[in-house]
Parts: sequence; C-alpha cells; structure tokens
Amino acid sequence: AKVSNSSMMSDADKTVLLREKHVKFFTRCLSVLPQRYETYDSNRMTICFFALSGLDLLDSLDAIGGDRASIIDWIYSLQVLPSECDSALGSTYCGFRGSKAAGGKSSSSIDDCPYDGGHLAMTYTALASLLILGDDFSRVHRPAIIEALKLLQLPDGSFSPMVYDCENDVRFIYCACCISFMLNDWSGVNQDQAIEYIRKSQGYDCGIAQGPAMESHGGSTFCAVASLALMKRLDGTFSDVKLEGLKRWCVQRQQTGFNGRPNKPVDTCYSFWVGATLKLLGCYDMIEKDFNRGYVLEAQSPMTGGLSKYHDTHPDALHSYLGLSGLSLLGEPGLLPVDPALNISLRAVQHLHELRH
Amino acid sequence: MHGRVKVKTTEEQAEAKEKERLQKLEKFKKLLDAIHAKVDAKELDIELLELTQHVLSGNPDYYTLWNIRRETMDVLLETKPEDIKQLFGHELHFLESCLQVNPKSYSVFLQRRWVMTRHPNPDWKQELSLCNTFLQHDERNFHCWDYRRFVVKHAGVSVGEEFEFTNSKIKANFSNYSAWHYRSKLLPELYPDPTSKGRPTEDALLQEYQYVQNAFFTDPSDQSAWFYHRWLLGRSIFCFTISSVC
Repeated sequence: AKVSNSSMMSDADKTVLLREKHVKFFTRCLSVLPQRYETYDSNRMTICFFALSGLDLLDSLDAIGGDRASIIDWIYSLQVLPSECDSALGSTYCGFRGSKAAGGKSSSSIDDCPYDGGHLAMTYTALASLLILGDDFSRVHRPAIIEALKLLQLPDGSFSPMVYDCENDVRFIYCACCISFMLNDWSGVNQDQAIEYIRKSQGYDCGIAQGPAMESHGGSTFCAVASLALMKRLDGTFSDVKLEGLKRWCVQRQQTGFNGRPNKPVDTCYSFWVGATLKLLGCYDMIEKDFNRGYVLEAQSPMTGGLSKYHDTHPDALHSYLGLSGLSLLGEPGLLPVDPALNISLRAVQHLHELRH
Repeated sequence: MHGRVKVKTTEEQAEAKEKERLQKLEKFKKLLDAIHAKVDAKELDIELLELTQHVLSGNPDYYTLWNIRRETMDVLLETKPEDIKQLFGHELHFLESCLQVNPKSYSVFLQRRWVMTRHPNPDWKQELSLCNTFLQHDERNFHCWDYRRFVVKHAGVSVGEEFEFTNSKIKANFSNYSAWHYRSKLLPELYPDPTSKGRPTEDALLQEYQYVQNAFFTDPSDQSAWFYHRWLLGRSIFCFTISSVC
C-alpha cells in the first residue's frame, strides 16, 4: 500500500537523518505491531533484534529504559533447552524460537510442543540481541546450541534452520557462523564443507546464490562473504578472477541506492547487504556515496519514523534497521559504527570481547 | 436539534475498530489454542488439518503449522493410505491459494515439494504449468525458478526443452536476468565438452556469442547480456585478435 511520504517530505527531510522519529518507531515496534505484520508472528525474535539493534545504532538504547531486564527475560523464555523426558533427543531441537505463538505455555524444552523447536535465525538474533542489551550469556545453554548446529549441517555443507523437513541454504550457514563466533566455539561447523558449498554457489556472473544452480543475489552474497569473514577464511577461498568478478558484480548493484539482483529496483536493505559485502571485500570506496545516502534518506518516513524499501511505501522494522545499518557503513553522523560481518554495533562487539575475558 | 443523523465520531470509530480487533484476536487465539490442544492430545486428524489451514491461509509463513500439517498427513496416511490422492489433491489446491497470498513463500514451495515427492501419481505437467503461470506474473521470482528446476528434474523434461524455454523468455524480454542465469547452467549440460568437465563446446560458445550480440545490439544499456557475454569470453580458449582498425 502506498503512503505519499514524498509529498509530505520536505527537501530538508530528504537530506537529514530523522533520528528522533526512528527512535520512536523502534520503541513502538517493541510494544505493538500493526496487522500487516501478522505473517511475522512466528519470527518475532527477528523484529525484536531489528528494533534493539536499530536503537543501539542510534545510540538510544536508553529509550527502552526499565524494560531492559524484561526484554532479556523474554528472549531467554524463547530458549529451547534439552528435553527432560527424552534424553535420546539430546540437543535435537535446541536453540531459540521466534516466539511462543506455537508453544502455548511458557515452555522451556521441546517436551511441551514437539513442533516448536529452535530455529537458527532466531538463535542468531536472540544471541545478538542479548549482546546488544549487555547480557553476559550466563543463561545461554552453549553446549546444547553447539550440538544442535552439528545436527543441522548437511553433507553438502549447507545448514537447515531446524531439524524438521525444511530448506537449506547460505542464509543458515551465515546464522551458524554468527552463532559460533558469538559463542566462540566452532566445533558445530564443518568449515571446509561450508566453504565448499559457498564456492559451488558462486555463479557465472561471480555473484553468489542461495545454493548451486540458483540465481546470484545480494542477500546470499552477503551471507556467503560474511560467513567467510567470520570463519577468517575470506583470503584464499576465491581465485583472483572470481574475486574480482565478485567485487564487480557487487559494485554494479548500485544504481542510486543498491539493488539485490541486476534489473531489479533498488531497495534500502541492499545498502547494507551489498554495502557490507563491499566493506568486507575491501572495496567499499568504489561506490558513489552521495547517491547511496540520498536514496536511503529518501526512504525515511517523516510521519511515523522508520524506513521503507522504496520511498512512498510503508516502513517496516527490517528495512528501517538495514537502512540505518547501510548509513552507518557510510559513516553517517548520529549513528554508531556497525560491524559489517555480524551486523551489530562495534560497541556490542566490544561487549562480546569483554565477555571472553 | 431534532433529527440530526448520528454520525460516529472519530473516537467512536476508533473504539469500534478496537472492538473488531479484539474480536479478531480472540478468534485467532481460540484457533491456536485449539491447535495446541489437539497437538498436546496427539489428535493428528482431519480437524487439525482444517484448523491449521484456517491460520495458514492468512499467514502462509507460519512454519510450525506446516510442520504439524506434514506430521498429521503422515499419520492419516498410515491408517488410510488409500486417501493419499484425495489428501494430496486438496493440499496442492490449498497451496496454490497460499501462493496467491504470497508467491514468494519459502514454506509454501517447500510444502509443495514435500507433497510432490510423495504423490503416487504426480502430475508434473501441471506443476510446470503452475511455474509458467507464476513466472508470467513475475519473471524474476526465484522461488518459482528454483521450483521449476526441481520439477524439471523429476518430470524428465529435457535440457533442450528448457533451453528453448529460456529462448522464449529472453525473446519476450531481453532483460530477464533470471532466464540468462538459467541458460548459463543449461549450456554446458546441453553441449558438454567431452575434454573438459563443466565446459560447453567451442561451437556452442560461438553460437552463444551470436545470440548474445543480438541482445545487446537491441538494447545496449541492459546489463543481462553483457554479464552473459563476459562469462562467455572467460569460457572460451581462443583469443580474439584485432584484424583491422578502421
């Protein structure tokens, strides 16, 4: 649905980051979501992450005030612990859920609902959110999560997000790498196999797809490159020709902002997905920064705060966060610097390092 | 004073809307509670299918409910295997309506694959036709392209036929990058170089040069053909030489 943002957008609004509006937008996301979001009910953890990380980049986590502890408790309530009834299950379903929508009760293990297991993307965003909130991971069941990773990696090197019959692709390699990095334990990931899958997913155009045979895409390219960076295996994975081709494919995503595939419209979120990829590949300076900045700022919603994928459409949590993340890569004043591989503020990464010592 | 038509004030409208919202929420919660109750009681039956269908038709991305559905169908088919055609027929129909809601749903296409790999008489032609329809709506829908590749593998559609399909898509629109991508995968399969695994023959490459030149002469500003061209250049082993400079 279209909302005529641009008609309400003054020229000044198009060149300025509307910080306070975005702070309000993210705090609202944490309390109530409009009907349009109903398809995200099972993924509420990801919305929480976008809001928290968005506030963090805006250096405005104090906006959640006294709710910090209860949000941390909420996140931990989504953790799926090893079964108490069936030890043979081991860590099969462990990790974090997206929400308690399917569980019904405030269950903490798979025993209450056998279909309500952990999901890698929720585990990743849960851990990242805890870091952002300054938690010390003391309630995280590390061994269960790492064991679960082993069960989720397939022979071809990719990961599935859950043990049930489901998809597998580069997105979940990324989640697994983030989790391993944050928990500082790589025993759950066979890195060589994962890298082989990534190599096979690089296409004729040198972009990287969700998997072999599939079409190159800005999101999957980010997942692949960031995974390699987190594994510290970026050097030496691609031949010189393929590496240059990859950089080239990424740089050519820029039109004003960035698109995710050739001949697709530009979309705010790719200012992060592709921007961060270029940062990790060491060629971010090849982009035209003013056009990129201009596009993202125009996607702001001056009425409600937040950013949308295109200007003149409804803002949403994902594009709001990734738009800001993309601006942070540009060094936008008023935003904390973001880590291009983990997609959280450098401050949150610093907290992670402090936890280890 | 008299006979003034009662018009709901904005406050009253907001209240009415809130009431409606709460009623909807109540209904939704009741549905989910009913689903949980049946799962807890291990009642994996037709009623559970109906309940989950109700929720999934509005929200096809609720992956837990698809998990429940698959397990329920497995249980039902264990006791009455003869129902499989009816059950799966209904599921495929339902999935198509879900695709109308969200044609880019990972869960929906996954469920479709699940059904088709278990169907005793899978109608792959119908699946191909479904792909064609959705690609007509959005020629860049990669979920659909990926599903098409799955169907083609099972349906025994020849590489040549699919190569011809990319022809028709590119002819309709030179900037259909997804079609060019598919072509890049099909070319070495259709014309495999016996001396070098994964490479197309030199003749095939030369043919493709002609083909792609048509594309970028027609629309020199479209990047699809140029990406493909660059890839072809990288594949060939002979070197271009400049024979004359005019």
